[in-house]
Amino acid sequence: MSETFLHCVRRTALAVSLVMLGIAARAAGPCDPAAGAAVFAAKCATCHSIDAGGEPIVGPTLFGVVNRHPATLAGFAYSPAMQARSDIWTPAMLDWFLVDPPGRVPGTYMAFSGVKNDAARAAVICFLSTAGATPKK
Amino acid sequence: MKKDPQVSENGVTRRDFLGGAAATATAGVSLLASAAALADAPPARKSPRGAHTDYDVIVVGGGFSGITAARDCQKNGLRTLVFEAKSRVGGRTFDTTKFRGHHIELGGTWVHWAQPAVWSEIARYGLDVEETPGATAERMIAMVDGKPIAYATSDRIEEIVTGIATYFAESELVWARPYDSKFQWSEIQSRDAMTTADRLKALSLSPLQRATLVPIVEAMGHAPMDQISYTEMLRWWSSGLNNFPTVNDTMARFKLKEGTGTLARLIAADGKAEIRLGTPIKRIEKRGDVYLVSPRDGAPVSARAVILALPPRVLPSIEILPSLSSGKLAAAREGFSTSGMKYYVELKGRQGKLEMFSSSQYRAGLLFTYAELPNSTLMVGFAPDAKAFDANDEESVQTLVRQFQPDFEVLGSMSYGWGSDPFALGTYSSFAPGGVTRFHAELARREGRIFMAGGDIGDHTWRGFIDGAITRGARVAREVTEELVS
Repeated sequence: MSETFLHCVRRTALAVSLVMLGIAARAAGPCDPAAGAAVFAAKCATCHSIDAGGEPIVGPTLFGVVNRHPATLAGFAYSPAMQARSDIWTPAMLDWFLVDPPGRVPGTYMAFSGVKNDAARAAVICFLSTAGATPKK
Repeated sequence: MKKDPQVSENGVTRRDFLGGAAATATAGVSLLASAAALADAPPARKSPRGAHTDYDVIVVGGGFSGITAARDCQKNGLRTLVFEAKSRVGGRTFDTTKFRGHHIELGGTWVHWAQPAVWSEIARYGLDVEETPGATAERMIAMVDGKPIAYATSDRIEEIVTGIATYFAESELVWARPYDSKFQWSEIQSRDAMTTADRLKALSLSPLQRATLVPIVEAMGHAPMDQISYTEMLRWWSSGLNNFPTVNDTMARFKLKEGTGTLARLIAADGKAEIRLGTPIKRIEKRGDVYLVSPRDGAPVSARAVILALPPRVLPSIEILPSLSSGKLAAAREGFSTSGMKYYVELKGRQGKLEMFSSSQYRAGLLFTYAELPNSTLMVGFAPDAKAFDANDEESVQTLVRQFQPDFEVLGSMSYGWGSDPFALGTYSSFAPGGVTRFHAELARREGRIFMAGGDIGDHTWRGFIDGAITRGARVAREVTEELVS
């Protein structure tokens, strides 16, 4: 994890904790990648890198995941359930999936109960759409 | 495999050291090894005998038991291949530095010098441990009759420990030798149907004794009291030398400074056995004297023996021909109690060395300080029912921890879903009530040249722990070596 990324996480921790706690729970507003970075750090980073070309930890790197077809990143052994999907990881699809991954795609190898808070989910999808699309220098 | 030029002081390449996280999670690609590594392996003291096969031994499962078995087999001169379904070794241990920047252990964590197998490995590879602050809590909060009771540990510890000692008073009788169930088999048999709730009913304890004992037992058994085997918990207690301080120290105090993953990768690298990550197995078939092991994606690989080093619940997910015994399959289906949830909560502010107790009716379970941070406190929790709440939902977690103290603020929480992980199907395991007498011996019994490893299998002191996994892996490696080397 780069220093820049850690700095970003620390800088936004307070604001995002409010979002995650529901204190500021609200309908998803404008895309807020800084808030999404903290959600990513708390919910996703244990299993996924966000680096271009990053090796799988437990799951594949999420760099470039937005608008990618499921189960198409080379070098990761996806579940048959995920391989069988023919849709695209649009922000709307990610929003649908991340509420409850094992419930949405039974058989997925993703052992994560999901991001239940609407604002937190919107923020992390925003983060994936921005940081996850820009290679670090 | 091309060697990475970055070599650590342990002599393990950085590439090896990072293992699953940074090396080669690609399906079908070897982590450590290869023909080149095999060329470096010591020659067998004796010659392997039998039919020509791709490997002498295939190990299915790269948890501590599997990689220990693989290391020892390879060092004994057997050509050994490990198939691991995940992108990393370590099985139901999994440490990460990526939870809000903190180092946490999502699975098996604690080790101790009273656990001889894992301590031997820690000494062998020169690793160090660090303390978990909450294991020596200075402050406690217990849910008693619906209300939180807060107290300094020193004020009430005698009462609490007396209650615990009363509950486990039979451990020395029933498991006089926790590594040998047959030594007092009749005592085990006569109690094996009992749940931990049955034992509780027979005792007269104070409200505080009950309010602290129950969460401890539910954390040990990782299930509600009426689903946990009393016999199994007696074994845990006997393994911890029948006294609370040692039990506490062995099960919750000392953790590996560099994480369980470091130890797992060192064992794996030391063995130089080939490890194929990201390679789930779909079928194992015996043909004559040869076993054909088929990955879900890829060609079958042949070997003269197979070591199954899997959580028992996972066994039915692999088609095995001829089938494993009905006893083993029954053990996989119903032999183990349901498993709860391990989770982490980062609380705002410095909470100190804190331990909190709640029984299953309050859902939160047992929590204690995992790390004291500059402006916050990281707590680790063990909830007896994984379905009782969503530990990844901070709002739910905050509601639960505010039962203990209304001003707690949750900054973040997380849990790995071991129960929904198809290669784990649960956390650590102990036999369900009745399971020791029904399944203990049968689960460990080899079938042909399929040998049973795994941390939940075998008759040894720390079954269900990292130590037990290593013990079993080493034992099975010796049995396989004796079988294959003439």
